[in-house]
Amino acid sequence: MQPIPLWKLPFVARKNVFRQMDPNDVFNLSMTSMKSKLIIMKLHKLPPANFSWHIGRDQGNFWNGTCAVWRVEDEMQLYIRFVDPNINGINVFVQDLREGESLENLSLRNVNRTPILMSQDPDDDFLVCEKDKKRTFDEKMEVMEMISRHLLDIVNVESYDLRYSYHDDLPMEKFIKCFVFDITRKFRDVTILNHLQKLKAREFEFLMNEIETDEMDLNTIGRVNGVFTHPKIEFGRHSAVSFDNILNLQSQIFESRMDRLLKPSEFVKLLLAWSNGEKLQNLKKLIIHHEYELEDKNLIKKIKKRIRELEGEVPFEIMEPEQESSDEEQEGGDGGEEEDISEESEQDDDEMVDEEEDVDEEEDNEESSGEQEEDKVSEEVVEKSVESESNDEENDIDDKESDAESDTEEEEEEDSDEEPDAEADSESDSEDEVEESENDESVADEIEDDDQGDVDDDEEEDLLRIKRRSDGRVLRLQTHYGSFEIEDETAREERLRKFF
Amino acid sequence: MSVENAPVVDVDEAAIPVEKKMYYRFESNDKKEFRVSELAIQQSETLNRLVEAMGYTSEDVENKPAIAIENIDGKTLKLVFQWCEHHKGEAIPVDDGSVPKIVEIPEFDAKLMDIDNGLLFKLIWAADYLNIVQLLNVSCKKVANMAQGKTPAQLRRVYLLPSDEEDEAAKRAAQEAQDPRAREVEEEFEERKRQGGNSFF
Repeated sequence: MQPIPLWKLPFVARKNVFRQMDPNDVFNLSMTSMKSKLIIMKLHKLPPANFSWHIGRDQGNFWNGTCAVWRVEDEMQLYIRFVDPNINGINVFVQDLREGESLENLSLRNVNRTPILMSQDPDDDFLVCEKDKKRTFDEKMEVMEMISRHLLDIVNVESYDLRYSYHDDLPMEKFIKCFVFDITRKFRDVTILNHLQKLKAREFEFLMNEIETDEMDLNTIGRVNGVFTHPKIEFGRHSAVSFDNILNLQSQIFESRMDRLLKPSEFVKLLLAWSNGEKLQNLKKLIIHHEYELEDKNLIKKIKKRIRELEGEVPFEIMEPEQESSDEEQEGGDGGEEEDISEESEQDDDEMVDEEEDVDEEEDNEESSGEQEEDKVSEEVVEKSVESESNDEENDIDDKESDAESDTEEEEEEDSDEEPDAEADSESDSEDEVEESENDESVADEIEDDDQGDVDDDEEEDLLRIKRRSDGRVLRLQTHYGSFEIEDETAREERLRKFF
Repeated sequence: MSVENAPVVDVDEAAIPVEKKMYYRFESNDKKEFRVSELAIQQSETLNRLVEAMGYTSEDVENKPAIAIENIDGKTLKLVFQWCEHHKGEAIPVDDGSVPKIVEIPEFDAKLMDIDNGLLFKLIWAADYLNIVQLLNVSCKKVANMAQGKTPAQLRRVYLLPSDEEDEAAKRAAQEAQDPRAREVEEEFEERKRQGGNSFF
């Protein structure tokens, strides 16, 4: 066939050709020579697209043609999805040749002057494989970087996504130095799947403060100390947040789980901090999941009771008409609530807390002690607090003991850097609780009395709406089976309007 | 001068308004003459403006010499006017600059463009020169389709693209071709400097 000299076509015609050419063909064309790439780069860049890298380990059941087989392999993929859905995407895999598979139409392609053996399957996916040898993970990263940089030159990039799954050769501390972060620090969506490593303070700092992303799906283990910053974050199911985390949220939409149920006093603290304009000012929606057995059907009533006790001092009002009246029981008063809203102490720990089991046990103990609403660090303390119900005089002594114990624990933990457990949030929680313990305990007694009344009512409440006096903004607190949500009502209306 | 019988394709007489039935005469650079209907000419922005500017009457068309199109040969011009006659009266697409540009190649166009790539190349140049938007679209679509599923090595052959080595060799050859003169200039410059001259020119 006689050739048609593409570069000798008039400019308008050549532009017309590129506008009608499939992006996969343009990619191939850009790999014919450096000159071709430069012409495309300067004059015929591909339209706006999203770059999405998947880096790490891929595992699952794969169909090998005859049966499903479990396979664990390196994952190194770049998918370019164009903004216009009518345009085919470009998909590049850097991988090892799978057993029984053969590569057809292998061809050397010039990626920024480096010849790379690449094939293109019938689905137009580009496969970068070596026929006779396996590349190491680092080598694959190098190849992926080269291809990514080549494509960055010929595509107008609109946004970036990144998905990382743990790989032995790419642990978290190495991942945060990977080439993607040299290319960009601004993402649309970042997913971190790492159930094998504790997230270190430096890594959390990097993920929250050194990159920007609209959405983050952070699947790690244990708990973290620090502030969640990105607009939308889902903090994975293998982890849990602390009250500190929630109180200091800068995100708009946040979803996570907690290994205990927030206390009514903590809810009040959240609401006050929000109403005073001190915390949670970006909040649109917060969803916290917890174990079903921690469910408290009277939670809203208890929170309302705590709020009523603050009446006259609070910068918000309850919007729902109050169903139950427990004015009689408000004698005890609560002059100390404002004091409870002290800033959480900052933690310097480097490691995340990993000992969910301990915390769970703790929660179980709390449950068994009749919803005492006290987070105790050890079972011993819980036992003592149970005893304290029957003996008010011993109460102070027990508190002092628990103070002393928690202090000792703190010191021990500070001494040992390697064993960060029971630290961070639980520490801060326990500190708070130590401060509040007297007050909380007396309130807990009242609440217990109150609970009886609530249960007798048989009128469960699952929604509380409060209105901020300063600007009229409304926050909804809604409990569900196994979770609670706090949502800004204006944001909710917007969301529903979009949905319907 | 060879005069071809006009029109170049069978004209659907019913489709042309009687009062507008006027044919212009054009001549290719190899002196082949074509008679093209006024309506068909409207597909070419360049020719349409030209005939409007000339303001020819029917008598002028017959009496005056054919309008010369200097840089298009007869073979290519025949294809162009065949296409124009077939698509006369059709709306001219407006380019909104969108990517991808969605273009379908009609059966007639596909048959018309069932030609060797050398002629296709000339047809594209002609469509660009005469500013026939839709002809340019379909012919470029055909060129774009040639890349489908090709490896870079195959693309180099299809589109006559030099490899990096060939580009470098060509560059070296060009430099070498320029070097003798460059050396002369250099020597002259050095000589003048030695003589104490302040200005080279």
